[in-house]
Amino acid sequence: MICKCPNCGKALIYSIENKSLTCPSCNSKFSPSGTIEEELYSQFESMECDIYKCTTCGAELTINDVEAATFCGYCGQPTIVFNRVSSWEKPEKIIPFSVTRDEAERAIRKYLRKSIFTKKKLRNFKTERICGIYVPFWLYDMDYRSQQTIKGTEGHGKDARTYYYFRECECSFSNLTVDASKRLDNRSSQRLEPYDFSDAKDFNIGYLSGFYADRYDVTSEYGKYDATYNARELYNEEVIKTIPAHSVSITADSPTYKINSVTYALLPVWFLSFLDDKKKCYTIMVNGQTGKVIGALPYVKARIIIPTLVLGSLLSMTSFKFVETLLTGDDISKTFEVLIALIAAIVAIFKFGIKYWDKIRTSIYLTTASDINKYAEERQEE
Amino acid sequence: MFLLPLILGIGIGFGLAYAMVGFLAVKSNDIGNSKGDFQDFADNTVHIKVAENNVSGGNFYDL
Repeated sequence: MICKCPNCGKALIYSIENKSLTCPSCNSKFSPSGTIEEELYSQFESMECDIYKCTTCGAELTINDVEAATFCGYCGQPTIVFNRVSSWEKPEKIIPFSVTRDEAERAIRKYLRKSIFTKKKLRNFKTERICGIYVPFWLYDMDYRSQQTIKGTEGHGKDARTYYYFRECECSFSNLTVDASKRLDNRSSQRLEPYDFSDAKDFNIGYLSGFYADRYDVTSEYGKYDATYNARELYNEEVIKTIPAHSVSITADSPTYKINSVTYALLPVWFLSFLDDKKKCYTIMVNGQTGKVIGALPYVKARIIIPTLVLGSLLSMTSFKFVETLLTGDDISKTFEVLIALIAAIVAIFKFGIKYWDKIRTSIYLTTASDINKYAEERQEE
Repeated sequence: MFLLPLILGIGIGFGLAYAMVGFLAVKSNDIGNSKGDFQDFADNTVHIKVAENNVSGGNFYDL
């Protein structure tokens, strides 16, 4: 949709620096709430927008005609076509962009410079495209209550004792975010958190001027399952902190919750895409309010294997000497206990390693645009 | 008594190296790997009633 300058008729752009709508032609500035379009649409629950559809990933975005939609904001493919004029349900809240395009790009470059396991060429990437998208979110306010039995161990070795702890707790969550777009993986959108909702404004179409905007395709009814799941995770983490033990697990849980309100909101995200030597696309995201950067770059295998081999050899030699002294003794039962403890230690160490590698593999997967393409293929096959 | 310490030594050594390089790779290459936490969404702190080591669940007291 477009907000036009009352003075010269050109399309206005929302200026992050001035927090106002600015005319690129006559440099006039207006408050987002004072435009003719806002007065026109404020009385309606919905608004009419030009819909641009991406034929690769299926995303449907709207953009004003200040810049032509030549590529998809989500998957970065130049396969976007003007589709139709459609009626969109108006969001209730919006957090306007506070981070400018340049600041977002600078923040990404600053972080990627530290990626020592990545090719230098990739670290000094050439930006293919960068665009700001208002991503749809549902915000849930809910009361959460639960009674739990938690099992934990106090002490170590022979002194280890298992205890059961009871917790009966209640709390209220507000603005629990669940992304309402199928294109954006929940694991990515959660990493954009937290947003500061004290800066949230009542929705006004003026804020969209100059940015892409997506509309929800996950209903609030469906999103509430994610919201309660997230609430449960947050709540359990907090309750477990009160348990004075290790190896803690929840053995019985009886949660009840009540959703008090659901708000439809648009939250700002910068999407920056670039290509590697093999033309593989990477998309790094930046929280458009706080500037938090989200993404991961692939590592050069040699830079992983060589340090692992060198470090592994050195540590193996030291460990060999250490284990040899531990296992020399006449007491067979004690030697057996030491052996079991060492095997348990090795398993625990490898588990730690696997956790880290899983983490980075997932992040790289989320950063590459291929997951969006795969999602599109699945949708097309349906 | 040479082979067993050798195997265990290699297991510990390469296990540690694998975990350490993994940790460094996450620190170096994975950016913004965190979610909003309890304090970001909760209006108030959790009100907790506690009964420790009491399977019947009675004798609650406030934490």
